[in-house]
Amino acid sequence: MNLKSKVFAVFFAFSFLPFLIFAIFSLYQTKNSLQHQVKKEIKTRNEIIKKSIYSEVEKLRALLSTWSKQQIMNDIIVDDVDKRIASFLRKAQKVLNFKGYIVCTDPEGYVVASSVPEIEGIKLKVRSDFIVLKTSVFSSFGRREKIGELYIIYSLENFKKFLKGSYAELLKGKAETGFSEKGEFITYTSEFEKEPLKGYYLVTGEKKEVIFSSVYRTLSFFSLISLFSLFFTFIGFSFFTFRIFKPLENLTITIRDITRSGDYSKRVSVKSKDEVGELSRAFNELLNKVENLLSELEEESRLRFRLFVKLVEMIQKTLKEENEERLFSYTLREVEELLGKRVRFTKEKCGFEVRAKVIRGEELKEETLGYICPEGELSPEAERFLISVCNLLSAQVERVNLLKLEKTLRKKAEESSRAKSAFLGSISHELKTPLHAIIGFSEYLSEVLEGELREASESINRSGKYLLSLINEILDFVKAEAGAFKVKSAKVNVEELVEEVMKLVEHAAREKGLELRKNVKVEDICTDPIVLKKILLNFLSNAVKFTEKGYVELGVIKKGNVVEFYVKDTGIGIEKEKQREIFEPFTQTEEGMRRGGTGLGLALCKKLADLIGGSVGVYSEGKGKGSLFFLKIPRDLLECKS
Amino acid sequence: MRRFITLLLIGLVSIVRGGDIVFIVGEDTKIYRLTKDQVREIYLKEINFINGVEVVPVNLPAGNPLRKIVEEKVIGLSGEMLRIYWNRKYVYGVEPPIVLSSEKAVVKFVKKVKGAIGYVREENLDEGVRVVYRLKLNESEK
Repeated sequence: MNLKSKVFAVFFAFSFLPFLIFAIFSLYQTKNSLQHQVKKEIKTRNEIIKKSIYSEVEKLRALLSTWSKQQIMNDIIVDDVDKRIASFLRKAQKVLNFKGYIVCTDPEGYVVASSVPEIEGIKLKVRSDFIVLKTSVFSSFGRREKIGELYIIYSLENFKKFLKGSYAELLKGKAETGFSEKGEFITYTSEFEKEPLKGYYLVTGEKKEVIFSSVYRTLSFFSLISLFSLFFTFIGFSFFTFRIFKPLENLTITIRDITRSGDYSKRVSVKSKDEVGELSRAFNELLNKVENLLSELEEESRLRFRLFVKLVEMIQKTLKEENEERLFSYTLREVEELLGKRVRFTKEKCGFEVRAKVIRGEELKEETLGYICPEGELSPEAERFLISVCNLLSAQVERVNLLKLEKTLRKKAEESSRAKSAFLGSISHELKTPLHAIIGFSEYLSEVLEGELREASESINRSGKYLLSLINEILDFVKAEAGAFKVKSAKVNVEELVEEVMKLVEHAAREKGLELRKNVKVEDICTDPIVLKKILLNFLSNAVKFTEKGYVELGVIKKGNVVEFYVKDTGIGIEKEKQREIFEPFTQTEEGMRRGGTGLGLALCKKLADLIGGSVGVYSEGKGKGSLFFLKIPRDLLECKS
Repeated sequence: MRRFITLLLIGLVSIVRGGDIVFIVGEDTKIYRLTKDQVREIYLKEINFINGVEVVPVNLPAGNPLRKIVEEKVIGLSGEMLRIYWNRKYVYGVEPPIVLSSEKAVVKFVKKVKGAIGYVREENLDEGVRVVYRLKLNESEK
């Protein structure tokens, strides 16, 4: 419920409602008293009518009594032969002028004379809607015997003159006496206690509409007044709300606007000087304050941002600076600027320690470089900042030192590598020279010697050749290991290269009756041709060596971003468990050992593949099911450095 | 002498029956013969009982010629005198004889009411009545 409704409710409750209650109450009272009064009236009227009817009846009875004493009534005895009674009765009826008839009968009930001649001579019968007044007629002579009866047969309609006006009715039979409400009437019913009306009831009533017409008039008047007062209440309320709530609504709208748009420059217009006006004014003051605060905050945040940028710059510059002395002087200058305080860097113990690992001889040793001492007191934030600066400095000093150390070490390593290469070169020469001599002389000997000696010299020759190949491989491996291989990138025609390599094993394959297949789908690539040739040759010679029948296929295909060289054979195959091991140095399958080999070939291939950024691997379904060795070279590395 | 005249009158009446005024009672009434005086006294309500029977004299309306004759010849009082007489009697609660409007009614009444006595012209006589006194009239009076 908003304030407007509340105020309206209060307004309503204190002004209109009591009036309404009063109106309804008074109407109710009026209606009640009116009803009471009307009931009284109805009852009174009932009594009056009853009295009138009774008096009418009494009058008739008196008349009847008088008539019965008339002397002419003696004519009953002579059956009214002279029509004296009849003419008298007719006259009487004419004078009284009522509905009904006067009848004179003899003691047996036969009509002697009547105001209505038609019924003379017959036995008297009375209709139910007539009341009967009766008196006996006695002779006016002698012993005054009863000679007949005199009747007034009186129609109820005669009473109608009393029932005129409002509702009134005569009822015969049983009826509830007292007040009741019948339809649109309020009625009062009373019983006739005296003859000849016993068994009759008199009902008098009044139309409610008539009774309450004044009440209804009052009601409509009240309703009109109520409507007017409601109308004025509403007008007054509207005026009131406009005066009171319009500023409040304005205030609310402004607050909403500000909340939504964030525009704190808006103000509420203040016109009134009441409490609401005061509230608006206070709100405006609050807004002023908030706006000032906000602009201050903005200024501050700009400042902070500048500081932050400066800090980032400082860190960046610090991290770039490799000269220790310049590093410290620059950083401290920046720190002074950021803190707005003087800061010293000394070797004496004070303030914040800067520790770092520095080169001492050929090793790194941690030691204290110095202390950063600010002048004056520092806030906790500034302290934390200085600690961070110390950490930054020590980290940078360490980095610089490490870089220095690394440089020194690399230089040394390069020197040792050069020495190794020279050593390898010389050793290979030293090793090969006597072997060449041995091989050469053993060949010569096997040509000139015969029999056992010849076999011996051929054995020497074979062993020598094996040893040579062994040395070559070892040398190659060692060279690769030592990084002595210098990889060059050049444009290579794959087709030619494949042809060249295949030629080298052609002889051996033909000797074993193997088919050599070729499947080249790639044209030019960029890589080191020597390394590539070495790997492929290794694969091919292995394949030929371990294949007894069938074929050996060398293929080159593109697979997405990769160029794949593969050598497929129908040879002995490799068990799955061993497939990973065979690329490790000095690991050979049993079969490999049996057939001779250094156990270095595939390890060398792996090393060489690494050198040109490729990888090697093998697929085999298992022993005796052939195998496929592959070399994969990523294509993006194949760009020629022309 | 008077007696003689009366007898003569009776004889005359019996001879000349038609046209006389006869005083009658019902057959049930045990009165058989009345004298003129008796009749007179009955009509003046001087006597009420004859032979133990209460008598009810019945008159004809005032102005009836028969009644005039009866008042003159039997009762012997003029209308004015009778009025005075009955006024005096009324004080003692005695009313004049009842009046019926016709001779026919008188005959009927007499037949019905025990002790009733009335007068009619002789020619109006009927069954069931008895003449108890005859008033002879002159030819001129008839």
